[in-house]
Amino acid sequence: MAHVSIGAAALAIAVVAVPAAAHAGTVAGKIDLPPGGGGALEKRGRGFLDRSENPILPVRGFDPLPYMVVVLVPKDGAAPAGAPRQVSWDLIGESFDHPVLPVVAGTSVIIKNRGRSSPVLRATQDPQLIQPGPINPTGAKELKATGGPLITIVDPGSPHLVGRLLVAPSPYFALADGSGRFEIGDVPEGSYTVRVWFRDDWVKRDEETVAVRGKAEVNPKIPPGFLAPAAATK
Amino acid sequence: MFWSKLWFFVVAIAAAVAVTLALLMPRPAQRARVVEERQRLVVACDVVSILLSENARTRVELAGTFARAPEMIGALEQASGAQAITDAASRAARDAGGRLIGSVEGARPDFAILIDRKGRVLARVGVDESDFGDVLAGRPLVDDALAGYLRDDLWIEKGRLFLVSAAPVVRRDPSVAYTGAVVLGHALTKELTDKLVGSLDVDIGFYVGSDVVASSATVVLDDEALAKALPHQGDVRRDCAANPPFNLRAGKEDYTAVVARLPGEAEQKGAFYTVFIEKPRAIGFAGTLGAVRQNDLSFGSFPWVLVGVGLVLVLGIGMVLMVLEADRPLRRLAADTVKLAKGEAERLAEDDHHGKFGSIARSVNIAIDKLSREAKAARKDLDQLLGPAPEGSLGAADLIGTALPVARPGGSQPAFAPPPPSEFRFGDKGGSGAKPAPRSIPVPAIEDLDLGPARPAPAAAPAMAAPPIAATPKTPPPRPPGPPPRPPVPGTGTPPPGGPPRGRAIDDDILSVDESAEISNVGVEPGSADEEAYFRGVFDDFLALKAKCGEASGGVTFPKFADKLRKNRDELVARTGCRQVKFTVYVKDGKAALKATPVKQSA
Repeated sequence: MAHVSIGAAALAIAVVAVPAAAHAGTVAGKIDLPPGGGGALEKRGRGFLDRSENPILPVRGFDPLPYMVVVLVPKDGAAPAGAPRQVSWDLIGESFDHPVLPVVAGTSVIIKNRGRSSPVLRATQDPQLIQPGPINPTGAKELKATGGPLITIVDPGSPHLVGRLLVAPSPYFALADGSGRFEIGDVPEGSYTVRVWFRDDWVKRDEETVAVRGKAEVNPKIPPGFLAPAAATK
Repeated sequence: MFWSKLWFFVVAIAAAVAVTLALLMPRPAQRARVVEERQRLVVACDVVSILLSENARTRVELAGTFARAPEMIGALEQASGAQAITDAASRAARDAGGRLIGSVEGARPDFAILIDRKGRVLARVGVDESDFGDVLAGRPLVDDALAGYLRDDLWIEKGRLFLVSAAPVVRRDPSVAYTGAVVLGHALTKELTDKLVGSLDVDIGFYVGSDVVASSATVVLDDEALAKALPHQGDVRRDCAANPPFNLRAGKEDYTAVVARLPGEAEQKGAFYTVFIEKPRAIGFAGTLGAVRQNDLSFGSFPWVLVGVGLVLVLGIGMVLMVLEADRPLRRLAADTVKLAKGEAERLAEDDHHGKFGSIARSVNIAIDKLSREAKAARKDLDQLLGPAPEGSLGAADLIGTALPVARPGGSQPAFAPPPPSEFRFGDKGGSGAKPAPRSIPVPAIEDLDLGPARPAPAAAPAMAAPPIAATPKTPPPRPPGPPPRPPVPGTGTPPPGGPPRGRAIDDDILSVDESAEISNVGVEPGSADEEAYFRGVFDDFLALKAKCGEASGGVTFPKFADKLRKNRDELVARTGCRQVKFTVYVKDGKAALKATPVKQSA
């Protein structure tokens, strides 16, 4: 759960990922979470005691927004592959700066260790994707985002340390900021299907189409129960 | 004896059962002890789990205390609003945290971590104090604390197991808001393990994988056995009850242990604890005896009265049965045999004796009957030879052979090897009736007949020994008329010292007869006139003695008498190897009788 300038980072990723195009437009909006948001923070393990709420202030619920990616998929199906680039993904201690990082296929992802530990990362879908061995503090490892749409990066020694790479079907995507707002720039004119990725899968919702011509606004509505069944895992 | 044997059998069975029970009884007790120890182990494991939970509650409360400290709230509020955490802010927060730790009474935390609202480390106290600014958000404990939960967890850091607790830091003024979290860590130490099992009489060891983190004992348990017994599924909280105790070794010692996973992050790294005890040794019979205390043998604890009564009862029954079935019948039999020996009874009363004693009585009676029959047969033979005896008397001459002492060549003293008595009866065909009588068969005593001075030997038989009639009746009858007494044959009377051995009877009575009255044919050649004269002398003596005894002598002729003596002499010579035979006339049971004695000597 990183709280470090997610909105700025999302915009940066969106700008970097989308190639410049003529008659490009911008799609902005805000993810419309159901009442109650992500609900209570899920239990992850326990000690000798069950956790207990503090008596002073209501506990904060689970914030699903850092795990959400809005992706525009061209209706005609001919999505440009997008230019593979190199993306930096920081390990900031006990978590990644972005729990879900959307990339286009073929993107070179540089994992930089900004923390104090030396995790041994492994891609669950393809153990050979990351060169074996620990990443020392200030060290880095590179992996090529292929396959997909999901590449899960874990450290077996620290089960709480999980990062997800979303190999998006189009280069038009964006992360939401802390309030759920997002903006996807340089979107060619046309009609797109708005899809929302949450953690490990696409959110099951009614198909939503947006016509891009100049600036368009779309507020993807997230249905209740979107956490299930993915809510069981982080 | 049947009941005695049955009682002995019952007592032996009871003793065998008692021994069997004594050997078996420790086994159920041993099994019960093993089960009890295993149950105790499970209970101890549960108790440890409870104590650890109580310990966690205390630590969470301590974290809450830290989180409520104003200096913590202020430091984290400032850090949460800052773009970056400065060294000065970290140092100030570290100092404040150090003071708080120093003020803790009891188990002080080994480290404290102050985390701002963004999940960044503001300061570390007690561990890696120079590190700050890294993000700890992402760890379940930290995420929960930042979300407002109080909880505990177990972390493994640098090979050490820490019991951690966390609490959210809440700003209350001017508005209520979360500003961060406080994490406290207590290292799991031997002091804590000792405290956990101090009152449980068990040992405990905490492991991460195969590495011992802390243990109350110095034994090194078989980590493979521990890992094998470690569950991998199910609720961690039920491990103590769900996982049965198992046996494992530590060096040469056997232990019984139960394992339970540790919860939290540590579980995912293979952390667990084991509660173990030394395996109860098989106590066995000797061990059971060794475990008996003095108090166990007191009258209040042990039924001595019952045991004593039982012992007396068993002994009493045995004694009674022995008296009834052995002693009294034996006494009766002995009394009957005494009566038999005294002549007060002719037979043993068979009907008065039962069982084996009755068999003995019957056997004795059978022997008596046999002797009686033989005596009657002998009388019949003699009657045929010498004529019928008066009614009620034996009337026959008993010719009983006696043995002569046999001098062993070179022996220091003569060895008596008594040949079987030469018992023959007139009328036996070919002398086949002369069979040796067993020594055990009682021979009726021969009473001596005092005949006064021996008769001189007739002139016709100068070499024939004419022994005096050896009989000493209590009331000697008048001497019958007859030829003058024959002089004693030299060598058959009192022998000169160093003289040749002479014939001896088996018993002393017969010896006395030999000394005083005997008729010998020593030096008489068979078939010669001397022999005829000797036999005539014996015949005359025999008739005279019969007359003296008031017996009729009809039917007895000298030729038949001499033939009988000759036949008997020949048999004795052939059987005993003697050279001569002397015949003695004596009174037996008031009747005349004859006795033949082999003489193994030269004239």
